[in-house]
Amino acid sequence: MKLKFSRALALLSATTLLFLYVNCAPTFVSNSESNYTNSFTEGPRPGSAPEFGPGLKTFPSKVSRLLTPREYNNMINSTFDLDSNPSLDILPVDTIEIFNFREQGAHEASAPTFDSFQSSALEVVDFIISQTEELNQSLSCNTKNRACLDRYFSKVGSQLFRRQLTEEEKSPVLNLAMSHISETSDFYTGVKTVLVYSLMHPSFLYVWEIGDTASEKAFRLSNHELLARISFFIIGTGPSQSMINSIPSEPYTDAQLSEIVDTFFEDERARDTTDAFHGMWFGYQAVGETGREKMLRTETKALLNRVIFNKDEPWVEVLLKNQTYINKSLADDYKIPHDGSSGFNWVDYVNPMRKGLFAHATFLSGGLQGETNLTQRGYHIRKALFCGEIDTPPANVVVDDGFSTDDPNDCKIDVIKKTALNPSGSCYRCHRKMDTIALGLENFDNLGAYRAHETGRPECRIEEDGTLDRVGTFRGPAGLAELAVKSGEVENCLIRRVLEFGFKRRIFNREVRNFSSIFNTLEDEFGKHQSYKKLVKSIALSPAFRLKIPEAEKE
Amino acid sequence: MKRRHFIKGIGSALIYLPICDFMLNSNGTAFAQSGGALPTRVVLMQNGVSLVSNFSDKTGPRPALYKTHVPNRFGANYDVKAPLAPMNRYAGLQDYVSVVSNLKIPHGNKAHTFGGMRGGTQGEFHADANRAQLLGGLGKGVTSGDRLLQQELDPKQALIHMNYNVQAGNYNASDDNSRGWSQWNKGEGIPALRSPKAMFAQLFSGGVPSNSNDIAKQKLALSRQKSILDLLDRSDIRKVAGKSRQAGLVIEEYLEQIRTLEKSLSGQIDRVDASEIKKCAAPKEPAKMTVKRADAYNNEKERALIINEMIAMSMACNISRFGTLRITDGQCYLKMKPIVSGAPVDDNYHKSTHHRNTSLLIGMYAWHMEVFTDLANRLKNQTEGSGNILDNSAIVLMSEGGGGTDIDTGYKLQPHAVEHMMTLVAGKAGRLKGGIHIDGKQNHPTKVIISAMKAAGSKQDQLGYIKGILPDLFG
Repeated sequence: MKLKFSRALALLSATTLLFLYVNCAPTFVSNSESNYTNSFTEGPRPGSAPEFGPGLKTFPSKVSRLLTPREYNNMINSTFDLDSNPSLDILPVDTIEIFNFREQGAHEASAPTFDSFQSSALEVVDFIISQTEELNQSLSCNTKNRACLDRYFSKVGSQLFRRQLTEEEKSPVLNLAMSHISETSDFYTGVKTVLVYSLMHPSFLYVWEIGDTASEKAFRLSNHELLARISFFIIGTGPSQSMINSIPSEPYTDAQLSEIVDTFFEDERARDTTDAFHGMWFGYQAVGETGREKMLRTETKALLNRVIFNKDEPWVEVLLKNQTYINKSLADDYKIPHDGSSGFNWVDYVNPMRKGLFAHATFLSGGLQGETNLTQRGYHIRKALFCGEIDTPPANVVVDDGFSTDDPNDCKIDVIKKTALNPSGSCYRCHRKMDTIALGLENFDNLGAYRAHETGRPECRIEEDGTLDRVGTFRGPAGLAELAVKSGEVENCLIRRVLEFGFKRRIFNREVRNFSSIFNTLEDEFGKHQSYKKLVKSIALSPAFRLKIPEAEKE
Repeated sequence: MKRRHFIKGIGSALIYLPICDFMLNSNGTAFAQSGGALPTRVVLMQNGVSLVSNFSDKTGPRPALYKTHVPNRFGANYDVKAPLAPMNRYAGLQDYVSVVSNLKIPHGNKAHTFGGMRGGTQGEFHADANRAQLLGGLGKGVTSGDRLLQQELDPKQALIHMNYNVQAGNYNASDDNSRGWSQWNKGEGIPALRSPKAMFAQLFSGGVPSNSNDIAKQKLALSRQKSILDLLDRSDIRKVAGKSRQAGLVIEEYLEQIRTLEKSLSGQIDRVDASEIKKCAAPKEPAKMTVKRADAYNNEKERALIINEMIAMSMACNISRFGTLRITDGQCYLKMKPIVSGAPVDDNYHKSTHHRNTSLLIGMYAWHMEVFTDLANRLKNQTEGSGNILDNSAIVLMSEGGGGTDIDTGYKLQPHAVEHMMTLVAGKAGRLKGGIHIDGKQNHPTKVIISAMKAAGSKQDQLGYIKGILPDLFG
């Protein structure tokens, strides 16, 4: 039980926190939209220091964050037009890129992290230089001289640093590179010098949000910073060189930002990033990219693409779609009829208990194998998908042990009813919020296949309904999806999660007051348009997104 | 020439001979020119769970759990039980391996104690039991023993500090339990490397050239790398921070790391010059090893041996002398099936302490022993002076917990316990006896680490809040 419990804890610690929106934004942003109101009694005071509400005295804001390995990898691929590069083999495995956004130890500039950055820089640059044809195309110069290197440095440097390079900062690097070239009589040694320098530079390794004004409380992001923030939010990497070159000297207007967001959504990488977001939220980010797992990812990504990108349907269709995109192999696993043709096709769900993403093996397995675990599944749904709260287990409970009874003939559901869901037991208070939900999914194993009885135990038939507290009962993924949509909880939680994904930070309880009014606004808007893309756009264009919102101290 | 190809090209032409005889005094115990002692090495290794299971065997009565691991006899020629049996694979190795049993972290709410018992607040077993040993308590602002030792014996930090994990991912343990073990005095664990390729790059990217041409080329390549870092250090990077004080602090921290890398490159350049490394050989560069966290096992058995080879060779070549190697993370969720035959398909190591029969726990500890003794034996096979490298080393294997009173509940014979702990030391550096079983007499396990540090030449008697060594370990 602890296995998924702790994964979910790491995944979802943020979910216990209300995540709302700043209402001091109008204080700072001249072109703020009129529908974002300030709920503080003082109201906006143009030009004054921002108000964060009572009890909020200190703001140890982080003005920078290290790139995550995924962002680092994406930056390299996009800058050098590669499909892959060696960085992910070298950078430390990022175990906490799950709504935690490096807020723990990985924020520190530690020696091993920098060792890895250096190793990665050397390996990546060796790799780039080994792609001679592509490199020469990118260099695009007849004579390999300082001017050629200068142009190349300006080009790749601005993309890696997400800003223009000044002559003043380029000059010493070019001097060094030219000296290395004369040492070795090899132009590519100079290219290597420039690239290694760039990949070790803090403007590349850190995402900086220093803003226009240095303040200990809050400040408006510069255009460069805002563009990078939106870019990482939507496409998971930095902006293109042409976008950087087009950054205006005046603050972006809403119309300009709207165009930028639309451009990002046209980018294929927006689909990858949307998939990555849903992977974190639905808990399938642990499902791999090879073999059968790749098939599972293909199925889920196809659903997201269809609902969100191809048709811009209401987001709830992700949960309610009656079709799925599978090949024969997955159809066999799911026990769904398939015409036997090769490749993936959209097929209708035959079993009325199936609908949408809840019926996918990505979600049902959560990247785990073996027998299902009611508590794990229920915990994940309650905490992650519904942004619910569940107390930490008592210290003397060994959560790994799972539940058992003295009778070896008890079926799994009997065991749960006698233990976790025994109303007179001490476990009931918390487990009724989790295991009761998962009961409704028990007809589907971790491979996503329907089963009428416990695997390997025909005598243990599964005929239980699941219960969603204060909403109703259900059977199967379809029933859960319908109830989730009916309750509105999952949509509210979506807004919180997308906000966190955009801001790349957790929002602490003590910050609730700062975010309430704008969160309510987003909720109202989403209730009308139901579109994931519009939700992302609303956030990206909101006044608060133009601000650096300092984090409250950890609680 | 590409760096990787350069290393590959020279690797096969080299032989192992870390320190040449002509460099030593007539007794082979010290350098001839300086008269200084031969270099000492310390590696602190970790087994990520306790020694006992709190559940009965399904096949019979609950065994005398603690006695499944700990030898019955004290002194030399101690009896070797199943979990320690892998040392028997190597002739004569037991003479180097000492067992310290009956160690204990005291209970209480002070910085050097652990667990408050029923409502106490000091320490959480899985997050803190390992740290408490390496840091000498749980106080803030403490530097771990491995880092202190390097600061003392290698003040210029010319050598590479190893901070490695065998386990390829945390596999669902909480972040607290899988984050870095080794730490500076900021009180933050430092993330460890888990990728063998990254370790190779860290240890051997400087290569080990064998002829003057290669040495010259290698020195130039390293110098170029260093000049880039130097430029980053000297350039006006502080401008990135603008007027922001906090950004300025981040930049200073960044520059500190750049300077550390520069120092490391300087050390590599020095070593290229040093005659003793001319005949060392970089091990074969590890192949890319993919990691699927969902599998909860990513060839850790193979990884451990690859990492051991790199550690042993880095020590033979004097590239590194200090480090930590977590074989398994705290509260380890590594899948057991690929390691212990008969383990249920989905069971993990942590589960074995709470859920399954003791034989699985023994099997998993035996694997840790395989890794521990494999490294010890590699060092034993490397001649140095009149003996071998293990004669000048102290390799320590700790465990997360022992078996006894649960720190939270007070229940007996539990794995969440910091009493009846057992720590192993391989090597004979600094008059360590080796080959004995001693009663730890409920001393704090940190005293074993202090003993290893002293054996390596440290002048310190204290680590964190713990003072003193275990004199019985020394001859």
